[in-house]
Amino acid sequence: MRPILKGIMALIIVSVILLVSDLQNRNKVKVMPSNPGQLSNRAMAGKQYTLGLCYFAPDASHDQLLTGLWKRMAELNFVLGKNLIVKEAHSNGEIGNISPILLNMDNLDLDLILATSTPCITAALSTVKKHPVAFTYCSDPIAAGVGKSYNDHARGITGIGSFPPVEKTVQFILEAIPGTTKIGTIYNNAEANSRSVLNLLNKVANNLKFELVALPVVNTSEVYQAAQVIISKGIDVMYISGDNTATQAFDAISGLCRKNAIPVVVNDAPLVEKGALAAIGPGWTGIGYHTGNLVARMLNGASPDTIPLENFGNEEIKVDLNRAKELGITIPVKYLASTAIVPTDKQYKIALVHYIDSPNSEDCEKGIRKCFADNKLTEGPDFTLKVLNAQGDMATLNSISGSIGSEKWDLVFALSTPTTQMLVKKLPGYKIVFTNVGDPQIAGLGKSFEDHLPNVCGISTMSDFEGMVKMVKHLHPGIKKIGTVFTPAEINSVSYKDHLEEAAKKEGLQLIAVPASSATDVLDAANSLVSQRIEAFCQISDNLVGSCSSAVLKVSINSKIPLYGFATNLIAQGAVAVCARDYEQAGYESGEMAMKVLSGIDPSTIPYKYVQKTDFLISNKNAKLYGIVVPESIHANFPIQQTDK
Amino acid sequence: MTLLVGSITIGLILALLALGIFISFRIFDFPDITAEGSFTFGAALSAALIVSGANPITATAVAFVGGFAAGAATGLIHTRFKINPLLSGILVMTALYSVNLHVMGKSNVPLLSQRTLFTWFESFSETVSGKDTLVNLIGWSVPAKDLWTLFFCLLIIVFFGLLLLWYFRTNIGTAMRATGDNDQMIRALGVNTKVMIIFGVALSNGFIALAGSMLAQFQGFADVQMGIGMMVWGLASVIIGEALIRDNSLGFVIAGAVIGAVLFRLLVAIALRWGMNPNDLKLITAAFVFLALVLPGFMKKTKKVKLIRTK
Repeated sequence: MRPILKGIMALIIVSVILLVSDLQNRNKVKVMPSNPGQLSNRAMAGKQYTLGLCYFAPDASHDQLLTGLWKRMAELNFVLGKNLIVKEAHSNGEIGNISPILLNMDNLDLDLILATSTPCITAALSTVKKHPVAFTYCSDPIAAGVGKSYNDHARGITGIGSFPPVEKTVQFILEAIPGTTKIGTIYNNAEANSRSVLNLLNKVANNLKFELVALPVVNTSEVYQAAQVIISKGIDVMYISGDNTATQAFDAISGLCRKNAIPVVVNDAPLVEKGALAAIGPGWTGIGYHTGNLVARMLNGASPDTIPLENFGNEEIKVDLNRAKELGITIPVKYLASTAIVPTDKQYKIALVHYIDSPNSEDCEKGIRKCFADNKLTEGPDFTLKVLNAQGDMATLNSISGSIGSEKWDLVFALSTPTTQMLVKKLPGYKIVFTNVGDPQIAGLGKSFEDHLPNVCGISTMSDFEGMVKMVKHLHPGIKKIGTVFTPAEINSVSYKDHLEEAAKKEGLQLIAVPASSATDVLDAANSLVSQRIEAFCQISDNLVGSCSSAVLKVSINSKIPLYGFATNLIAQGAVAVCARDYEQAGYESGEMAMKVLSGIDPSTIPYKYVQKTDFLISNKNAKLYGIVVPESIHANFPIQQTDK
Repeated sequence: MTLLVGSITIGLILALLALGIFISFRIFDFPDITAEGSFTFGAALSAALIVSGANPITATAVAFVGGFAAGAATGLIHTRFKINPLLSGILVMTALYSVNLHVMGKSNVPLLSQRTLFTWFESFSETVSGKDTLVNLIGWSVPAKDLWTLFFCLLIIVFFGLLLLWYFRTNIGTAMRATGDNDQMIRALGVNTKVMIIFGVALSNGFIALAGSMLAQFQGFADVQMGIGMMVWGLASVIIGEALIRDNSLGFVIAGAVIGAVLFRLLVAIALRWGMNPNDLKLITAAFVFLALVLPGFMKKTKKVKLIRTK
């Protein structure tokens, strides 16, 4: 029996851990609140509210929903993190995870559980026993099993359904595209919402006398084929409702429809940017905002049993007029009121490729968009910007460059070194503007900033080494030796070190650079710099040292040798000053370069440039720790922003 | 405490899944991925039957038979057509997706107001301990019906565990085990290994479908996607159990699979209770499982070192 005892011991230990974590719940049995008289939806002063939020998986529409919800909650004086604590959990897209999540929530001391998406709502119906439940983000609550009708629903739960405006969409199609007799749609039979939509669509088709060609798919990889089949059946319009599978593979549908000049009408506004002619749909932000009222009321104790279910649509109409023009469609004026797009004659087709979701890359995109806006170019009529993101995956980046190569673009933005290299290699005839690239020469994009590859130009975001050396010299007159740790294995790091050395030499300083090859070396390398009597650290920002900058900082603090860096986050960790590139500015400048290219200037004649603007940040508090007095004159010489007084 | 009771209950239900996976992977060394389809198949069959008014026990039994048939299909495809075991599993699993949709008629069947095995347990609790009774368990109040549900699940798993133990000790069961261990030897003794494999994979999927059926009744709905990822978790339970109970005799290995399944659910419950960032859930679960696998061996080593030192 001994082996079994071991297993049972393990079970007991784990159970005790679980019980200990659950100690605060001891003997706290909550009774369901039921005082329907009190229906105020503003937060009561001094009261702490706790809300459990359970959802299926993060997605763009759900994010919009939450944005709207928190906005309304804030207006009703429920401040996130202050008087409203939200315990949130999602099932990572696995249905099996929902029940344990809700079971756990049911055991917490919560005022209300908010379940979003159909599977979570269904699970909440059976799992949640002690708390009232509110729901939203569901197209058909009756199909989800919440009740027999909107007034006769299960006890302890109420919420908001948002059925897509199927009839309105069909009406729009018939009015905007006269002569429509066949409407095609693709849906996944496994999605309850799509089945409800399809049922209604069939009814509408009967009443309005058009033919509906509906094709079911099982997963996203089947969508392309389904679209081919459906188009071959001679449809006039493609209508994709909120079906998740079809939406995921929307590019395949819109590409095929474009080839065959078939307009696509959808219920999700973001799809208009992906090639849909028009979207007539529930605005999730608005629905979230509306849900805020219900959540607030229920947090204050309103009983779900007395609140009937509700269908809330909040329709938004978005039309791509350029696409309409292409297809020779005139959109009736009454549908244009809520769209702000004005057509122009020339529309530029632009692609933008990120390698990974990083703040730097995102700031660059922001800058590019700002530059286009400042040049009176509006997205939609004047240009289309297709943003792609390889999410750090080289294989994906390959596919992205392949997909870009299959279309004609007026310009392609590349927002990182590997992206630029890939695009330059795979798309020889395309005009490419890059930024967020440290050293274009090292990346093989040219022999020098003037003598470079044809069809390419861009902005280098290499650190401002000269500015840094000048600032250090200003703060420490008479300084002779500065030091940095660098990584020989990183091509960027070596290049940064060489540039810093060059800049130092110009100002008559000596740079001592010590190599590190792994995270454990960094501390030793920094210590060896101290023993070589450097007077200040000017730490370059490469990947290795960047991720263990605290080791260098620790040495700096212990030895009282000040640290200067090239990344803004170092200031918060204790650096005296940083001089960091402004990536939004880099994006803006690459946008300006793009204007030149679009106006017909040959990119090979445009030299590469360093980004013009640099953020100098200085912390007086950190300076004091090292006994450095920051002279007033520094403000006259550098555009310094102080982080503290 | 309700969290603990609930997690153990789910763990016991999924222990049936672990037993099924144990049969195919461990006894037969047959990498069978029919599991993800047959799990849902069991749930779909019993949900559809319960909704149409069938007795819950009949519905659960039909789920077992359905899973059994699905597994037999995989076994047949493998043995008769000489198709790689993984591919035969994939074929049946893929086909079952459509079958499940047909069985349920839609993607999701709610069982909320239906009579299921679990509503029986609850009504039993009502007659024995009274309605909505709370039991005080070292300071925590636990609804009596939850405890009774746990008790019945325990009974069910003990019953099936013992059944399996008994079965694998019969002549035919021993022949099945031998098929996995040394098929040449057992063929020489005149046993048809093909039949053994078909029957074994079928039995395995019967258990898996049973788990699916129980889970659907417990959580109150069947969904066409509920099988996704189940095979991995079942396999993880089996391996955790093996790592904990380092004994190869049949009874202990079966007990290990059950303990592993429960332990795994408890670890997930802890990760949840500690309020981790939702995006980290899977990472932390993985870390927990890793620890559970590594710690026993590590503790053994440190013990040995101590012994040497004291000498």
